[in-house]
Amino acid sequence: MKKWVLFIGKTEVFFIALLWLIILLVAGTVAQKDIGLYAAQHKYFSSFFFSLKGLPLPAGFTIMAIIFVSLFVKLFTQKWHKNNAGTLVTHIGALMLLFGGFLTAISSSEGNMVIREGESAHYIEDYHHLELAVLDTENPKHDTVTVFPERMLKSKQLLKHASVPFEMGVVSFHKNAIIGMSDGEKIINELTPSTEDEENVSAINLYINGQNYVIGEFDTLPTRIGNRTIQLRHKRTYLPFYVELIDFEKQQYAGSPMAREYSSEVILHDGDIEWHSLIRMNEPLRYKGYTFYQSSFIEGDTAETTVLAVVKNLGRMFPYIASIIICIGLLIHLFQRIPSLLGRKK
Amino acid sequence: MNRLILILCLLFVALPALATPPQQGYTAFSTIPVLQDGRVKPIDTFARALLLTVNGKSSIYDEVNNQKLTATQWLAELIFNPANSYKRPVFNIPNPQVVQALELEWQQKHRYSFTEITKAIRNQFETIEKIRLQSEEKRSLEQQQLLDLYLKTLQYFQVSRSLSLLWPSITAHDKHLAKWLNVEIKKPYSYFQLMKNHQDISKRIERIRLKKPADMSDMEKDFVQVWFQMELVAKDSTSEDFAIIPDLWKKENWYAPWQLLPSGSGSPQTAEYMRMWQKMSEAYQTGDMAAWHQTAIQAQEFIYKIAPTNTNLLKLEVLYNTLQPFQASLALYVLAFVLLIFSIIFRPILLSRLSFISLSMGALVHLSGLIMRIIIMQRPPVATLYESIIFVGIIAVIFALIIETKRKDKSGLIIGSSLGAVLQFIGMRYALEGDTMGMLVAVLNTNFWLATHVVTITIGYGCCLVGGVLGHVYLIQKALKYKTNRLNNIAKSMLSVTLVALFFAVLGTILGGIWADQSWGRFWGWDPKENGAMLICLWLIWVVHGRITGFIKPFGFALSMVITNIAVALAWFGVNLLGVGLHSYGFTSGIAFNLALFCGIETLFILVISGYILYHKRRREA
Repeated sequence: MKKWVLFIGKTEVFFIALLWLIILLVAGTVAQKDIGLYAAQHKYFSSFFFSLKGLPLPAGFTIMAIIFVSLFVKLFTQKWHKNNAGTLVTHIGALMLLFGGFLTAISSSEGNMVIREGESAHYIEDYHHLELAVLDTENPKHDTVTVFPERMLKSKQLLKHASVPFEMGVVSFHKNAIIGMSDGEKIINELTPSTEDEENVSAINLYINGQNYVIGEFDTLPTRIGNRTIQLRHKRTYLPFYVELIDFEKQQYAGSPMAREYSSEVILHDGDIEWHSLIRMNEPLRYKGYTFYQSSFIEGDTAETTVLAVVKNLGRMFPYIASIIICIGLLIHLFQRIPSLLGRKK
Repeated sequence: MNRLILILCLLFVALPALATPPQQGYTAFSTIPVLQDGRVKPIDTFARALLLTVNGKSSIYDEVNNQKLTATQWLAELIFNPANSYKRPVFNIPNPQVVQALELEWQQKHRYSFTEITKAIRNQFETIEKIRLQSEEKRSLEQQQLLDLYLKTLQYFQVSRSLSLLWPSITAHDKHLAKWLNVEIKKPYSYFQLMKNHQDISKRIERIRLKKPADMSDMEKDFVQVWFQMELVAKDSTSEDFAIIPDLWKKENWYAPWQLLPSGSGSPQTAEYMRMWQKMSEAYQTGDMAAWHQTAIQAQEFIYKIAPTNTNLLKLEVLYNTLQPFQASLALYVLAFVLLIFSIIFRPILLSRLSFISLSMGALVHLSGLIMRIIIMQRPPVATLYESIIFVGIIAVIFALIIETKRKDKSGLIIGSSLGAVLQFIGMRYALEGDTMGMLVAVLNTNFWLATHVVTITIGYGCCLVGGVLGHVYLIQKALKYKTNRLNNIAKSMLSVTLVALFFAVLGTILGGIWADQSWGRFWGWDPKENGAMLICLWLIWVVHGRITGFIKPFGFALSMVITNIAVALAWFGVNLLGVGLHSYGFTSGIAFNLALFCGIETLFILVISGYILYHKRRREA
């Protein structure tokens, strides 16, 4: 056991792992042109292995885990000296950075909040994943929602749950489609999914109680079966508070359509508390672990709509602390080494 | 020695002050403010940007009168006497296929007049419309260029009609009409002067127009004539590019003459200002240049009193445009390089001292240009790709000067003159796109992060490039079989430069992550630009660790320095070619080719020089 631990701490292992990370970085960056940012990130960086023509190769998580362990072992097996204080501190900082990255990878959630002026919202919509929601709106005090995640929306899948009084068979699910009419019936025209998930508009064909139902992501008329409503929508994460948009303001450069700055004036309704805030570019709102950023907006005739990016991330503080430590370490090292390296020449 | 440098520097700084010509009309005219693309700028910048767009150069040569015309002089002719300007061959069509498509004759200097081109465009109008309706990817290169030319002529035309409402072109012949309009008979007036009557004229014309010409009185016939002339001039009312009139209430808005009247934001002062412009028009059109110069100076002094903008910055900007500090520094860097080459071949110390002076002067001019930009734009000078090139240039030269001062072995001169010249040259190409002091998109509108993240990362790039050139020097000296202790000195320098580069690159990348966390909600998004920065950091870490542990010897280290150059080029320019991600900006066609060429040359250098060195090592050991 000890032999393996010492082996991982060897500089050679670090070298090879680092070199592979560099190759991975280049491959993943170039791949983004073809398969889009999100897909490339998931394939090369946010996973353990990826396959190249059937051959499994280590991906981001694996390599960074190896580097983390290697650095960790090295740190505790080498001598701590005044002379290498700089490098020691830098390495501790690097470990913190990697650890923070790990925390972010396992705990962060992010999405969009789209709010029209004068309206409020209390959920975040996921950028990529969809869900099929069945709503029971009978109770005047609250709605009961049963949600089937996107991974269950496959052809020939049967969707059933104790809370839903009927069974739904998935005939087909399309990530990107246009719904048209043919002979008074709705039909689905499938489109090639775009690499940018924001451009995809999904649709699903369900078989319920002997009938076909075509439901699109942005249907204006909700599909009702009995006293239940069925919606196809982006995965929602509900927040314990409401965000109300009072006013969205866009400032443009004089005589130019380019936006100089945009901001959203909001009120957070948390139970009885009303929390006023102004969310601006480069100035987000932080509340109870969630951070709200001004992302973009949608113009409208009567009112504007703000689009906020919302992130919850346990590992948020780590990069800040780690960076300070790394820089202190590098500075110490520089000041110790540079005089001898510059060399006095006559 | 040092005193000589000091005197030369002082002289250089004093020169512009001495060289300021006596207040001439054109100088005053060039500093008059105009709003374009969200920024109040002097007419000089407006003129240069337009001339660059149309002509590819920021000044033209008048072959008829054998004189050079500055951009400002050209613009003055365009707006005050367009009929003449339309005949000047200013439009640059460098692609012979586009010239053929327009059925024009190919000329040596490939410059064509507005008159020639509009005639040609009229014939090809259907084709151009079809090209415009197609989506961008489907157009061929020549079709895109033809469409761009068409759009340029539209812009040129719009600007040329900016002052048409000030030209006296409408005359009343009937004495009753003249009385009613309160004007002198048989004297030409401008649309601007007759504007106050516009509503009454429109009301009366409705009644008169229905009559048959035979039934009209002389006054009514003249009325129709005047109204018709006014309508003809009013066709130019869409000309809105030349926004010279400030809004004295809503201080952010500026209007073009044609926009002022409908906007209703005029005031007695803006009316006075317009009258001065009318006087300028009249003087220019009648050829009374003395009067024009006088009125131009008056107009500039007047607007400087009432305009809600910092007028000192306008004058500074015109000075900056005239001095062209980055072109001047390019010349000095090239001179330093040439002197250096001669000093290596011919040995006298004087040549290398002169090279050092030339390099320092270049750095001073370069730096003064940057400082001027900071003052004019009121922000750190590193927000666009162009600015990053200029900034990396000065960083590289400063570091090179430090190295040369410490080591005195010409290595600093090599680094400074080569990097300085190359980077300024690349920068010049980007400067051709027009006004380089544009406004920034919302997310970049933060001086703090611009001053920290972007500055740090560009310093990091600069240091990497310095290390890259050092690597070249080491390899060439090794191939030429220089003594080992000289090589070791360079090796030590390479390591320190790399450590400094590593510090700035890592700090800069992390600051970028923090900015992203503050702005977009995530510290790291595997964005191409972020990956590029990480690539440089990881590569430097790998190389430094390799060197420190003895894994990589000085020879291998020097090779990795050259590879660092390639990494920097890819991270800096290459990622923009991928066109994805939040950082996608600064795309220029042709960049792909030049980038590939650079990487190709560096790779070739690595292969050839290492092959040579290894071969000779083999031979010696045999």
